[in-house]
Amino acid sequence: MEPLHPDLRQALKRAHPGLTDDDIDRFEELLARVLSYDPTTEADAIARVSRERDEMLARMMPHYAEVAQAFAAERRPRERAERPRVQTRIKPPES
Amino acid sequence: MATTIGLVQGIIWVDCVVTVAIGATPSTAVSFVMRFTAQDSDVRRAFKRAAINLIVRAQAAGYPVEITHAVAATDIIGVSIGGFDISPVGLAIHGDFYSVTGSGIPADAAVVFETPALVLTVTPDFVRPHWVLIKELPAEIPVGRNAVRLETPGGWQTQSVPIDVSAGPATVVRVLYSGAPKNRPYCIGLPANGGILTVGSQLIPDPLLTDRPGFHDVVAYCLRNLLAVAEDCLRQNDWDGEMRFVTVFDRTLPADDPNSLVEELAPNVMRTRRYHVAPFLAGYAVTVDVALVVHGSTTHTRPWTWAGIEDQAQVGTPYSYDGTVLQHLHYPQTPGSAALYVDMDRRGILPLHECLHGMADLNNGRIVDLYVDPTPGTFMINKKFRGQASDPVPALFANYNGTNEAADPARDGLTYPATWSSYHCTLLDATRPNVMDDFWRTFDGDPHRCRLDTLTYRWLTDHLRAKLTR
Repeated sequence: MEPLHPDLRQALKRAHPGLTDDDIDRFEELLARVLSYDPTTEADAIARVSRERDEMLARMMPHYAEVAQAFAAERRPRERAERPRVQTRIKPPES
Repeated sequence: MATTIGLVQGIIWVDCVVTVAIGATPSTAVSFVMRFTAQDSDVRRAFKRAAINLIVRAQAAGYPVEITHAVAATDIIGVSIGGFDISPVGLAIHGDFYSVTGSGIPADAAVVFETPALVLTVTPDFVRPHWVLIKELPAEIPVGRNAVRLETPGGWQTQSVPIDVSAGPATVVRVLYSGAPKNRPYCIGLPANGGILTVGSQLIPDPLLTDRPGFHDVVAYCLRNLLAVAEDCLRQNDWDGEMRFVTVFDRTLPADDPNSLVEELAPNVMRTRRYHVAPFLAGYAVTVDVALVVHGSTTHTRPWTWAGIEDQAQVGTPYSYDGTVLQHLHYPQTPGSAALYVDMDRRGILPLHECLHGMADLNNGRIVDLYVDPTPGTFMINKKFRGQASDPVPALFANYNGTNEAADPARDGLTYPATWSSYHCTLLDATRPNVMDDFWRTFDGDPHRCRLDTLTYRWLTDHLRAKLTR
């Protein structure tokens, strides 16, 4: 999983006054736990941790998704518009 | 015996005599003949037919042929087609990927397309010593016969290979680089996702399928990220030349269950549906070791990756980790798979970071994220835990195949938070975060220069070697 970008961390704190780095780290831990469990064999553990994560999201970071989407949109690459560079030379007619 | 090499300028078949004109131009061509007689044995007649067939095909392809004949005689004794020092891969189609392979290709090589009237020089998007890739073949290149070559401003140049350029349509399955010529070369697949399983358990079409240029752009970025950043574990000794790289983009896919390779996880994570990936690719006759599944969701852009599940029934290469014997198994049962956003931030090393997760093995050694402390699950090679967070980081991280690897006492300058009990192996470049750690926090803002730790590098080297030599 992608590490949380420091600028996104700051944006989350701006959008959620009172949110601390420790809160975000705890949420990251819960997210990592959910994703590390095997859905086929550890569904109970996933459900348990997911409940805590969802509760934390709703209570402390209700705007997480919007903030993350805006951040991802800002970081969209600019090089996307570039096509391969082509130089064209017209050959002189053969004598 | 003599030989004459040239293009096939003409073929005339009159009764039992075939006359072929060989030379650089029609006006300088020399004629040779192949006579079919009633006295020819079956074997002799089959040889003559094969020789003429080869000449006809060489004429159609524009390839030079080598005619063997007696000195000062015109009867054809043998025919062969010499090789070229480069090899175009697949069809040349406007807007599609276009690869040229060779050897010793300089980093500043350009791809030159030449017709009788024009010379077009295209700057490739990705260059390796054995491979040049153009992400979208420019429409400026004339449709029809071209000669393609590689050259550099310094004068290095390859032979020219005749190719036929078409306007479309782009292919569904594209082998970008074929890898080692064997049944199952190590393969990294880059499929475009067809549908998304949402948090609300709905299947929706993936918008990526209407954005083929975006797909091509991110594939080129992924290749540069895997093979051209500071971390060289995938390209050391140029062994990426042994790997196959394949893309699949099928814009006709319905968003049904088999084609939905990714699923959302709130608030913004996208992960693959790992058991869907191999069957989906099998439908296109593609078998991979790792799949970097590209999707176009703009709401769930944070990637997550499943490690591969290797096939325990197949052969493996044993290794020891702290005295325990495990296996670098040679074939995957379920390939590792990552879900990558088509417009991901290009300033990071996400494709490399996620691909390394996917290349590892769920049961014989995972490569896990280092930027969070707890990591439940199966055995991991690159993270260990102290009994208490207050305990000092041990001097020794692990013993791998009889060699001790030191621990990183300072977490590559990022420092271990006081509450953490996890610790890592020492780094190849102690000035920057580990590729698997919080690479965004590198001091100069350039994650492309991050490296792995010593143990993960050695383990991956052996893991890949086991698979490349299978």
